Amino acid sequence: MASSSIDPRVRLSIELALTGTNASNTLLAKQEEAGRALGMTGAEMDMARRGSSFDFETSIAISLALNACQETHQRALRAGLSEEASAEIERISQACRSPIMILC
Amino acid sequence: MKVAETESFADTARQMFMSAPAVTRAVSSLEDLIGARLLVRTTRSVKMTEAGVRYFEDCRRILADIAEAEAAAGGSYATPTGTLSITASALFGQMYVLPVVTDYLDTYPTMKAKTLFIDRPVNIVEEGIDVAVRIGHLPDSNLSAVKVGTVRRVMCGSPKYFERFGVPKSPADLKDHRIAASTAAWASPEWKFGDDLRVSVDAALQCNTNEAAIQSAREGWGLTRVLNYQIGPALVAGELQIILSEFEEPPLPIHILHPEGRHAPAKVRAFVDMAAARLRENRLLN
Repeated sequence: MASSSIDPRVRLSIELALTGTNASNTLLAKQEEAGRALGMTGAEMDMARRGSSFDFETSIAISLALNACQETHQRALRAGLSEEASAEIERISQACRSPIMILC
Repeated sequence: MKVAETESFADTARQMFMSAPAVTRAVSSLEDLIGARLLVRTTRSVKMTEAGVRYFEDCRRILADIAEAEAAAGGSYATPTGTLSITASALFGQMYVLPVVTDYLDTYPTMKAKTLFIDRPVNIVEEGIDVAVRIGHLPDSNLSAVKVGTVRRVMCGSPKYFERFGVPKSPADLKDHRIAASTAAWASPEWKFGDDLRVSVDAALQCNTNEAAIQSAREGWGLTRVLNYQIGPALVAGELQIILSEFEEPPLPIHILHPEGRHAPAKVRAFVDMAAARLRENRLLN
């Protein structure tokens, strides 16, 4: 498996933002468990489900995932995200939005 | 006991509704009985001798045991009665402990409560405190401790500030940013980060309260470093955001402490149970 250029907490926050609160109870419970294992608080997970983050860089990554466009891409680069990380976030976003949700 | 506490024969006499000579005679009789000088009188005050300190501590322990025995016989181990005194740091107390205290008083209407929310170390045994909420690693003690959450020391600023001045990428970059430092709990200009990284910070604004430093950051004036619970509502509202999280020290535990005694009274047990449940379900702390 190829190593990710995204921090596991940022990755989970993106997944939480993309699924929001519409996920099944089973998925919500799984996400909660994954977040706890990564040391996230409940409030951090709630914020991610609302499409933002307490953390500046994570909120930039979530914005890109929720609305991948030239503007958010440039903003992510300006905030310090690498091209590789930005591209991976856009891939995660597309995968979650496709009819067959391979990631979420 | 009262003379030792007040360090004054006159004050003791007033409080005990006795004459000052009667208090002096009582102390002298006690010293004759014991065969040791307990108090040293000067023109201005009364101080305990070494034997007096020992005797005072022993008497206080014996009186506490008697009070405990009376409480046990009177049923206060079953039902909360009396006054509960609680201490915590100023902001944590105000934001997270006070709502538990008021709920506790609603649940037990005959109870009274006293809070001591203050940013200084409090000796809970000497100051007669029933319950303390402490943030940080605990020294060894005879107190009972219940862990209820964790907090992080975080660097934060407002989105408005980041838009205007950019975001530091490492603690070393802080020298190029405007800093509002709270001296309430951390007066040193040297800030410690994870992996024992230390950075000297030349704060343009030094605030004697956490609230002032936080407010200046909220307004987009500069960056500040606080415990994350202190900015919980501002984080939820998106008014402040955390930066440099990868450089943070490990989180600090939050504990509820109380002197164990032989049996904690019902008023303490009821409060500790309620506070532990409430703080553990707080998603900002867990």
